[in-house]
Amino acid sequence: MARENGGRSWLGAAGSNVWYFFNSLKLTISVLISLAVVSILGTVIEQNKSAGHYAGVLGAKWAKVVMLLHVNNLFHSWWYTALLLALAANIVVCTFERFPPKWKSLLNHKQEKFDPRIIEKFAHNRSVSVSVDAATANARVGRVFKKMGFNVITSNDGGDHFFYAWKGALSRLGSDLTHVSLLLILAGSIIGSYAGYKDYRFINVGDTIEVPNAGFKLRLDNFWIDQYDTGQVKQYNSLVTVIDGGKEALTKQIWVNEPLAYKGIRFYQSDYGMAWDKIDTAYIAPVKRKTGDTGAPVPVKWGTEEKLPGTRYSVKVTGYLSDFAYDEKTNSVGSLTPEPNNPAVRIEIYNAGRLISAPWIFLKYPGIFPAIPADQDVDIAFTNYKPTLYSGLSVNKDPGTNIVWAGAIVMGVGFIFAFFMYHRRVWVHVKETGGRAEVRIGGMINKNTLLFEKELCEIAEYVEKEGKKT
Amino acid sequence: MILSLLFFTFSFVFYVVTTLLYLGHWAFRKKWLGQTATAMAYIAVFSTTMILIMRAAESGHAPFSNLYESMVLFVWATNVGYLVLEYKHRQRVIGVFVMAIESLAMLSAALLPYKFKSVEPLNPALQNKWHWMADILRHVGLEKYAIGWLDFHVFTTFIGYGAFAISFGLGIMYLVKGYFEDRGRRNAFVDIFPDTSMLDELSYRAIAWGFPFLSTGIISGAIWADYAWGTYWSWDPKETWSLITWLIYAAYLHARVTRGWRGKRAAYLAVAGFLAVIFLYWGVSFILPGLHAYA
Amino acid sequence: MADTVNKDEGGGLPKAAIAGIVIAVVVVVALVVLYGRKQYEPVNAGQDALDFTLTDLNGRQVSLNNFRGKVVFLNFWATWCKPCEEEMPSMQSLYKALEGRPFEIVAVSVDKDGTGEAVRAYAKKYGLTFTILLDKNGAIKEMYKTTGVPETFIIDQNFVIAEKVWGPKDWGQRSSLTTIIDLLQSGPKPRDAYKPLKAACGVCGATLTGC
Repeated sequence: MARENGGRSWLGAAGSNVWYFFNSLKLTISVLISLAVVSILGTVIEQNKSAGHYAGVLGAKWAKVVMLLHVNNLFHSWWYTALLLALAANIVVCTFERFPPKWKSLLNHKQEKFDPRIIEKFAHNRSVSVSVDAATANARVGRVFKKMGFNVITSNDGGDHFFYAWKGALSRLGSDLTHVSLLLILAGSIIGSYAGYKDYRFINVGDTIEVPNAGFKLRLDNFWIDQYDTGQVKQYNSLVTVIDGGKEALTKQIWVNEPLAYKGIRFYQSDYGMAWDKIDTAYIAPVKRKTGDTGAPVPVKWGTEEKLPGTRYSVKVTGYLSDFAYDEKTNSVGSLTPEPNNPAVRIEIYNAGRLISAPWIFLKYPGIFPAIPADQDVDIAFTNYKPTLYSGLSVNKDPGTNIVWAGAIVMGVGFIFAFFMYHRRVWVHVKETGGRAEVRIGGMINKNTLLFEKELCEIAEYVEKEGKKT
Repeated sequence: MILSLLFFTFSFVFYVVTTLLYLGHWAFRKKWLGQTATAMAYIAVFSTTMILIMRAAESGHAPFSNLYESMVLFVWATNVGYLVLEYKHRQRVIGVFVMAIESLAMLSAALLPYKFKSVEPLNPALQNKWHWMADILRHVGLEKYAIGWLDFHVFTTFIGYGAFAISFGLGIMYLVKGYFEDRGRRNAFVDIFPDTSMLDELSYRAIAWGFPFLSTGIISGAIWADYAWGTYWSWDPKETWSLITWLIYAAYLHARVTRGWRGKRAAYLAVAGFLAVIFLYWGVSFILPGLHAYA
Repeated sequence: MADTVNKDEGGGLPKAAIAGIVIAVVVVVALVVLYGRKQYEPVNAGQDALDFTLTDLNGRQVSLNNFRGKVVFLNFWATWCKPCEEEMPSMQSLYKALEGRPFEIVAVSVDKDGTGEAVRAYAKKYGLTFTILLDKNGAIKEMYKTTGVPETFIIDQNFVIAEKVWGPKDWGQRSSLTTIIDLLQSGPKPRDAYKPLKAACGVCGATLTGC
């Protein structure tokens, strides 16, 4: 490339060097292999773990290296992003350099008249001599090209007849479309990682949550689990309602693989669990303190008062903790874990409408503290319960997703052009000499030379025998 | 009786027999060995197809849901791809390499714990169905066989792997043949190989199939992940290794048109790519921990 | 030219001969495989129990055959499996309750640790007195085609599997013990009286989550 020296600033020269650095296929291969190798590292070294974890696995020295170079979060590190951007720059520059001339040559590829000698120079060519006149030969050439789906232009110059045929020119755009699609995908993923978020919320049945950064609410109307007849879980389902501006905007059943989308935010059924602060029904039984006999348990629904038969009491369940723990310092109770390790209910005990006691009673420790201290005969036991399930929803917003899908579609089209179409160009020259037609056939294909050889054979044979088997 | 397991054993034996026949044809150069080998390869693909059909009938869903089933799919795809290759180009020596890979693949599936071979219903995350397809199949009562992005993802990815297995065999053959060609040495067995330019061309043809299918597989996998968990890409080891594989084959495609990278270096990339596929399949599931443990 | 068939080959055979060879191979393979077709049956109620020999916690070799003639409770478990942990105490209670009767519990641990240290500690912690065997390379669990832990096989006095239970059970509840009690009281039944059931919930290591 001739470059002017005099009027060029060093910046222009440097910029030019940078440009040509990116205009290299060798760079492409280097970046692709580098990305591959570095990504391997990111799978072998566990990501997003603490410094202590790496120290344990790799030793203190290497752990320091890992943290310093962000190998612990490699795929979001600056240098991984730099490699991706280098690839993007590589694509942009190469396309800028190579696409215009390609486009130009595609627009001007047709050749009306040409020097017949070029046909022999092609790597793929054939000559046939047929004992028919030129007109017949020309007709055959025209027919075989039509049969094989080629576009043809013809011209004559006295006794010389020229054919130029082509097929599948779009194939040449395949690589460019694919490259553009990669840029789209990269752009979409970058937009998504900066402008999107991912959150997780669990909701108990009947509760409503405020959706972050969105201005609307979501209410869980119901949650249930479908099972196969063997008892194994088939699907988790939630029935949710969107409440926007105080009105119910949308109600939908969601399950795993079937999310709800509203105003650019999507809700996914992620998992579920048993609530640690609420139950559906407690089974409460009266106990004769002297003998320890436990009577038949009575189901008591959350928040409703039920009479305990055989006693003068009625009970109401107002609290539940799955793993009851008492904190002396703050004099409060709470659940140590979400697991039902120490289930306890707080019940209000009424006698003839009067609240006489409001203790916590424990599933695993019946009778540890008498529920009604004043009563020597009757105690209350918590024997079983029906849990309230909460639904675990994943809340996502990703504005880049659609750009990524657009890129995927472009990539698909690009692949079809690049891998399943071929650009062939065939030149044919027919000249009649001494009652015989001399036909020369030759051309080029951008890939799959084996196929092209077959096609040329087919053309030659047709011209020779017109498809008749001798 | 679990018929799919029965057909698996049939197929395993057929692949071993086919490998031996191709090997015999390579060693003894008798045409009838080659013809029988080809015939057995057709029997093997039929038997493998039966495994998948029986599996679908036994499990009530598309037969791509675990390591065992997908291995069978891989073997099936490779076999179909090879038969097309042999039909078009009739180079039976390639069969030795491809069928050896098939036999090893069947062996590895046979060694899986029984847990993978037993037929179990799908857990919630694996149930992704295209509504339009379920609606159409509902008319004939076959809606449970409707597939979705997940099955499409598994299917396209494994067609890709099948093509890559073939290009791996061709890459190895290229390197061996190239070794002999460079030194001008003659060897009764290697001389029968197609020449390096044809091996290179065929390897490219295989990757030209594999690469778009792998890409479609990765993208449809991302679409499924987006439906199931809301994130189309989370850099878990399986996703990352599929990207690594993709990068290696992308490098291969560019190497073929770059001076200094054609021929031998491209063949190395073709070999490396399939090694990445093997790690992607087995290494990630059994050596690395992760969300994608493909059980 | 790329498409040539290998030319310097001799010994082609007519298509019929090739077909003949292929059919012969297929028939032979089919016969051989079908002869061993038992291995394609799942191990379930109504089938014979399969004998095996494993090492117990004292290093002695113990065979399932040693217990032939008794009602055997064959349980596959692991120290890392929570549902197994939940059912162990009820298994110990059952064992104690049926002491003196022709009833044995054989608990096969599939823990991969060959020394058995974890298993020994576990047995001590829960005061387990029944036979505990170590299947560290998983060969026996493969033989019994288990897909997770815990799985229990109730074997009758004729060494036939009377019941297969997937997942844990409270072995203190009468409803869980109908098969065992029935076998002890009325002896073994004819094979077809045992109904194979399908899988249920609560199994560790099975490919399903979130039961």
